[in-house]
Amino acid sequence: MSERYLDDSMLIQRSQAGDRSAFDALISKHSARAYQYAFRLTHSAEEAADVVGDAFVRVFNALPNFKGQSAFTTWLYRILTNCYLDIRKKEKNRQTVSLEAALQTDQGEVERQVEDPGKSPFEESIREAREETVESALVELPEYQRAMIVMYHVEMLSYEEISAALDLPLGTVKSRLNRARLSLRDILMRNEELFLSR
Amino acid sequence: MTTEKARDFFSAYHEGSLDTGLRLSFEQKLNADAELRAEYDRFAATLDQLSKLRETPIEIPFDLNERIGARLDRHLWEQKQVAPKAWFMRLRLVTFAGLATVLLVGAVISIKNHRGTTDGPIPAGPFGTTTGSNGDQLTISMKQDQPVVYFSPQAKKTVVFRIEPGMTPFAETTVDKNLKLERTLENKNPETDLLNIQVLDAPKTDQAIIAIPGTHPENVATGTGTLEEFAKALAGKYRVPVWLNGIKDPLVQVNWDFKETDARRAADAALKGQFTVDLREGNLITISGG
Repeated sequence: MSERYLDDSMLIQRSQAGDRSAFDALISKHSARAYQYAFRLTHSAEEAADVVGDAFVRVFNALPNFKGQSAFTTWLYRILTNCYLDIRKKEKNRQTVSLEAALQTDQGEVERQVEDPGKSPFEESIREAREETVESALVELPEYQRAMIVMYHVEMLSYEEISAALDLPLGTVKSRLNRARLSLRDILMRNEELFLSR
Repeated sequence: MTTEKARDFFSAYHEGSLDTGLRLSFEQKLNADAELRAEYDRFAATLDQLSKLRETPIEIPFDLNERIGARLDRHLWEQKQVAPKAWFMRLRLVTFAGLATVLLVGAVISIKNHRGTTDGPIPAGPFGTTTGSNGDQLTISMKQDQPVVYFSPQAKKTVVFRIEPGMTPFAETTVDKNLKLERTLENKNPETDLLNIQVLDAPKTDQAIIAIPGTHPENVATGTGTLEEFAKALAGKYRVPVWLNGIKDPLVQVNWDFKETDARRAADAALKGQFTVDLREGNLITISGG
């Protein structure tokens, strides 16, 4: 039997004892699902691969402390979500600096030159096409809401599993998911109206 | 009930998990407020659209595992580079300090050596180049009121279908790498059947077990048996497919007494939190965990 078909608990035990091939088997077993989740969140192949790579490094480092109180997959979702949120936070910080900071030069303080944020006609047409889809509406949701929607509706996690993955009370997960769905509905309606009015 | 409060209940109403009192109150509000009704209908349509998202295939990079392995190897290498610097700093301190410090550093070395054999860094060997199934999983969802099984393997796989686990397969199909199996599951027998779908060589927990109601209504209200038998009874009584998703032990014993008005509540009452019960779009009951 191939190693990747072994139980998670067995692979984790062996990994904790320093067996790298067992950890490789864990990667092999869960990487595709992790990537799919990451891709749904990021909509970028490169970024998704980064999120998954970072997540498995964190799993490797934290594995000695993993007690198996939740399923490995639930724990992996938590780490993936954190990696995704961290990457987004870093990006936001970078954008804030580039747009708001003034440059100091020999001639004194000058305004930073920024690129025209307007999209090219080609990008605009792509954007318009994507607006018709639920996926593009999902991108407009705040990151945390997007993660919850993807976990429940695409990854088919139960409320209980999401609650464990995000370390939130069950009631909070349910009410936040309801709000996320309402927001998504509003975005879809708004996009439909824009589309119809063109 | 205010409109704002009613919106808070959209999800719970859609999933059928509102208490009877709240449900009646919500329905009254819905019937009295056409605008709210339109909002709810749009909400339900959004959930339907969401459920289609998972049908969109996502291409997994062929070298994903190697990239993760390389990322991990780099991380381990970086850790190794930091470690000698720390030792160098310690040794330099020893050079400039007196005998007392040497004794202190000696103690650190002893602990370090001892730790090295128990929880030191795991040696970085060559990374496995397994590019096989990558966690291929059978999933089930509803399409036009029928349960459908989906499977997209990363390598060629054989899927077998059995009536009841352990019996001789009545059908099997081979799915080539990167192709998608999509098969509607229909039970034309009079009684409810338990369908076992398994990917050959995959672990037992990755199999799909689904109870599908037959053509004739069944009314077995009480009983004791395995979780599989419970799934059959639930499916037969409430005329809904019941999917046992990733259950480690489907032979665990369950008692049931179906007094509830719908399948989800009946499952919750019988399983008493031992398993997670979900009602997904199209009346598919999913039982997982345990």
